[in-house]
This record gives sequence, structure tokens and C-alpha cells, in this order.
Amino acid sequence: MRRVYQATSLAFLALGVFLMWQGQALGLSGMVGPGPGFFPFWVGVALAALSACWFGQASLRPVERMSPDFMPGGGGMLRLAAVLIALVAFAIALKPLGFNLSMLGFTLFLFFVFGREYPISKIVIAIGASFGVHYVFETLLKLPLPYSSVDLLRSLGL
Amino acid sequence: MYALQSLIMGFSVALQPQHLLFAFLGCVMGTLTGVLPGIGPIAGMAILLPITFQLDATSAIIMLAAIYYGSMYGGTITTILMNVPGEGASAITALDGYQMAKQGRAGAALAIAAIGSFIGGTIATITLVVAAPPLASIALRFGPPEFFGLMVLGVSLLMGLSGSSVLRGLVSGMFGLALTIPGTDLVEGIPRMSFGSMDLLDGVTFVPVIMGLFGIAEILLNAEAESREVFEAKMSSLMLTLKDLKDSFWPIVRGTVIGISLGVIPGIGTIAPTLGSYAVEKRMSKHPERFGTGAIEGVAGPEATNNAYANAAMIPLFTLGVPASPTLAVLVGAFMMNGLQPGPFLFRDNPEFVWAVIASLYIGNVMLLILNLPLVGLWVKILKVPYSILFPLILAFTAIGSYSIRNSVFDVWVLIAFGVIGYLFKKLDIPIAPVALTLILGPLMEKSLRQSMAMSGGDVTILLRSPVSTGLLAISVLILLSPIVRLLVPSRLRESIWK
Repeated sequence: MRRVYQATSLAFLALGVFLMWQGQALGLSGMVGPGPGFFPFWVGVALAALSACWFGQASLRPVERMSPDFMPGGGGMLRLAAVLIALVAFAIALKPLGFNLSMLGFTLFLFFVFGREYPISKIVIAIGASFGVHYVFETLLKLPLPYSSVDLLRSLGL
Repeated sequence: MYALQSLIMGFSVALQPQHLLFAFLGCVMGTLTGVLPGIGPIAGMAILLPITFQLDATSAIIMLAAIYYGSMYGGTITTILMNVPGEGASAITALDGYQMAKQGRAGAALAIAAIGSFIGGTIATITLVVAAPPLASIALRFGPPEFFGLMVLGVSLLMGLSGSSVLRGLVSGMFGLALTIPGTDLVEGIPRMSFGSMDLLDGVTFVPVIMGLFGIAEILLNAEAESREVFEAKMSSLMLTLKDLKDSFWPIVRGTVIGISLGVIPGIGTIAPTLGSYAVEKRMSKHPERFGTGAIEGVAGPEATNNAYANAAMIPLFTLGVPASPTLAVLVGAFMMNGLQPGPFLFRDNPEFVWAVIASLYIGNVMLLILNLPLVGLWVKILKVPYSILFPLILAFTAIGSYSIRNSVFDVWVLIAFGVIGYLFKKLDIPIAPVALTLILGPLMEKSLRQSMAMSGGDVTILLRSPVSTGLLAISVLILLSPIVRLLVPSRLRESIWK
């Protein structure tokens, strides 16, 4: 864990230095009192100082060993990747495909990644989670959800 | 007298049908999120926050407050029935509650948890009614330097949330402050670290960050595990015996006092009070060996403490604007999204809103008691839904919620990014709670600092001119230095001092 903590503390140190640089660029003093860069600069100083202390602590003091479950096993890694892929795909597909198709694909993908039992129920629930939720949001809650930007899909009400 | 009249006014607003409906919905949804494995009160509130955007401020806050204490009780249900604590404080209830369930007395455990929670929550709400107005009137005399001192104290108290590493907790808190920087400068109106992005001109939105850090991160951690077992145990009757009630009376009273006393102090967290209550009951018991084997006192006391703490924590929130916990930081976020700033000015400028919310705390406690006991069977049915179905639905709901805040795909990306960050933080044992607190307190801290220095023409010593701000800053420094002092003072000397 030593290397992991060192790398993490250096990442925060870099962020702190970046904030100090940006704070200076924005200006520490303004027309009346502190400028827009005052707060970022001092937050950067504090973050950099604390991160440096953390780096020192990780380098000099005994650090616990990495636990066996720190890295997920094969199955866990696949499920983790599946969740992230589903979320990223949902964000990318939302505008071009619209909410209905994006959410349908999202839920069906995750349902079957996490287990193949109850296939019919899962398909029904996925349809409810997409088209049903769209209806509830649009009609009852008056919260618009996006339609597809593709003309053909849009003409189908998707 | 003023408090009583204001409370009556508050009840007249809170008892309106739409507010009762939203309190009811909040209790149900809060309990549901508490029951669902892997979703704690803070993730539940963050995930359900977008639902309140279409409501007026009073309805929104009533609903969110109901979600807050509803989720506490929901966590108790999974604790007692499945030995899976919904949140940290419920872990104490598991010691005896789950044992009672194994002995076929799950119903009695749930019933006494509900009753203890109701009594603790009600008495804490009464304390809020009595204590809040005088505290708020004192805080009205605070100026920007005093508010800055208060915010610094709130941030330094986050060390109590830092878990095993104070240093990592402070780094996490500074990271949260860093997140408040992008946006538009509040004085000069120029873009600040927006990197040319129109989405970042409004700053990093609080809700998707919290949903990602607490909701998505927890889901990612759960995704690593193999599928969970479905709950199969049978529910027993909810009836309590006379002995159960007699054995629980003083634990509930003591638990309530402990919860209220500690709830007013920001940064304590929920685990310490419930642990303290359990320790007190074990010490006071004539048969301490029964604890851990199904002693009803081990459920009654901590549950009363838990809910008393949750309601008493509203005192510093309403009177000073300081959230006592990350969960209440989400509530502060909701206040701000409705154009309200919790603190003494809320009492002065929006009294009908404040007293309606306080009255709804009492109504919500009654609703939880009446609804949740008969609905235990429904929650048990939900626990039987396979996790492979529940889990994607929770994710879907989170994704929809983050999009619907501003109808922006950018917020979905923020949700994903902070979900990954939250997951990494948990893996590296970096506490997440300080991020939530500083994300809320950061803008307030900067505003009060810049106002103070504008008043003094740039002279930072204005922060030390008032005894209140000096005192608050001194306490903050002592809290921040206390881990170093502990390291420097030899342990034997510390022990001899405490003796």
C-alpha cells in the first residue's frame, strides 16, 4: 500500500500546486478585499501541504499491507466494468437515441450481466423502467426527458 | 410562549393535505432506501433529491426530512432481519436485534425499535422547539467574521468524521473545498476555473457529486461481491410483552438523553452516541451477560439514541446553518437549491417555513410509528426481490435523477466521475464524508471571509477582533492540533492525567 498512498498523495499535491498557480493567475487581491484567486490559492496551499505530509507519512511510517480483496477478483472486475460501461454508454447514447432506448438498453444489459434468471420478468421490468418512467416523468412530474436526435426514431416517438 | 405560538402556526401549515402527503411519501421512500441493501441514508437522500425539485420549498424540505429519518428506520429493519446494518449506527442494534430475530422475536425487536425511535425523535423535536429560537436570536448578532469562524469550526469538526486517518480526512476535506472553486466568482462575476465550459460556469453541481460519491461508489463496491442471499426467515408477531415494555422503559429514556446531548454537537457522527448508549445499558443492567444474546435493552436504548440524535442534529442546522453530519449536508444542499440558507436568518425571514418543517418532524415521527409496523411485511417482501433485479433499478434511478437536475448529460458524466472517485476513496480508506461537508460549507466560508476582509479593507486581523470569532477560531485550532498533541504526549502521562 505504500506505493499506492505515495502515488495518491502526489496526485493531490499536484492538484494543490495547480490551484495555487490558478489562484495567482486569477489575482489574489481585487477591487475591494480579496480577489477571485485568493480562496483557490490558499486552498491549494493547504491541500499541497497536507498532501506532502501524507506523502511523508506514507514513506516513513509503517503502512498496512494491501488486503487480499483490495483488487477485485475476475468476476468482480467484470461486474465492475459492466456497471461503468453501462453508465458511460447511457451518457453517450442519451442524446442520439433518446431516453427510452438508452434506458431500455441500460437496464437489460445490467439485468443479464447480474444474472440470467427470470428473463421474462426482467424484460418486462426493463420496459417499465424505460417507457413507463418516461411516461411518469413527462406526464405526472412534468420533467422532460430527452427524445432521440435521429429523425427516424423521433418520428416513432422515441 | 413565542415558540409555542410559532409551533402552532407550523402545525397549521404542516397539517395541510399536500404537506401530509409529502411527509408520508418521504417516510415510505426513506424507509425503502434504508431497507435496500447497499443504500444508506445519505445515498438514499442524494438519489431521491431530484424528486423534490418540482415541489415548493416547504414540501421539498418536509419530504427530504422525512426521507432522512425514514431511512434511519429502514436501516434498522435490515439490521434486525438480516444482520446487514443499513448504516453505521444500526450496527449496534444488530448485536442484540439480530439475535432476537434468530430466537423468533424479530417482530418484538422491530416494534421496540419503532417505539424507541418515536419517543427519542419526539423528545428531541421538543428540545429543538425550545432551544432553537434563543440560539437563533444569539446567532443573528453574528457578522461575517463570526460566520467565518463558525464555518472553520464546522470544517475542523469534520475530523470527527475522518475515521482511522485524520490526515487523509483533512486531504479529503480540502478536496471538497477545491470542488467549490470552479464556476463564476461571487464578487467580480468572472469565470473562475471553468476552462471554457458553459456547464462549469455554474460550478460543480452538488447533487450528482454526492450521488456519485455515496450512491454509485457504494454500488460499484457491491458489484464486486457475489450475488446476495435472498431473505428467507419468517416474521413473528409484533406484540410486545409487559416485561418487554418494562425492560425497555429506562433504556429509551437514557438513550434519548444521550442522543439529544450529542446531537447538538456537529461532527460527532451517529456511531459514537449509539455505541455509548449500548455501553451504558450494559453497565446499568443487572445481567450484562445477556447483552449480545438478544437483550431487548440492547435494541431499545440505541434505537432511541439514534433517532434522538437525528432530530437533535437539526438544532445546529437550523440555528447556525452548520450541518452536523454529511446526511444533513445533503439537506443543506436542498435548502440552497430552493433559495434558502439554513441559519438564524431563516428564523427571522422565513418563520412560517421553519416552523412548518419543525412541526413536520413530529408528524413524520408519528407516521413512521403508525406506518412502519404494519408495513414490515411489505419491506420483508422487498428484501426477497433478487438483487440482480434491484441493483440495476437502483442504478437506473440514480442515472435518471442526476440527468433530471438540469436536463444535462454533463451531470451524468459528473455522477460517473465521482462514482469512480468515491470507489477509489473507499478502497484507499480516504473518508468521503468530509468532501460532502466542505462542498456545502466551502462557498459559505469563502463568502464570509471575503465579506470580512472587504469590511476591513483587506486586513485579515478583523477575524480576531471579535471575541466570538476569536473563540471559534481558537477552538478550531485546538481541534486541528489535538492529534499532534496526542502523538507528542506519552501515553502513560495521558492516562495519569485522565485518572
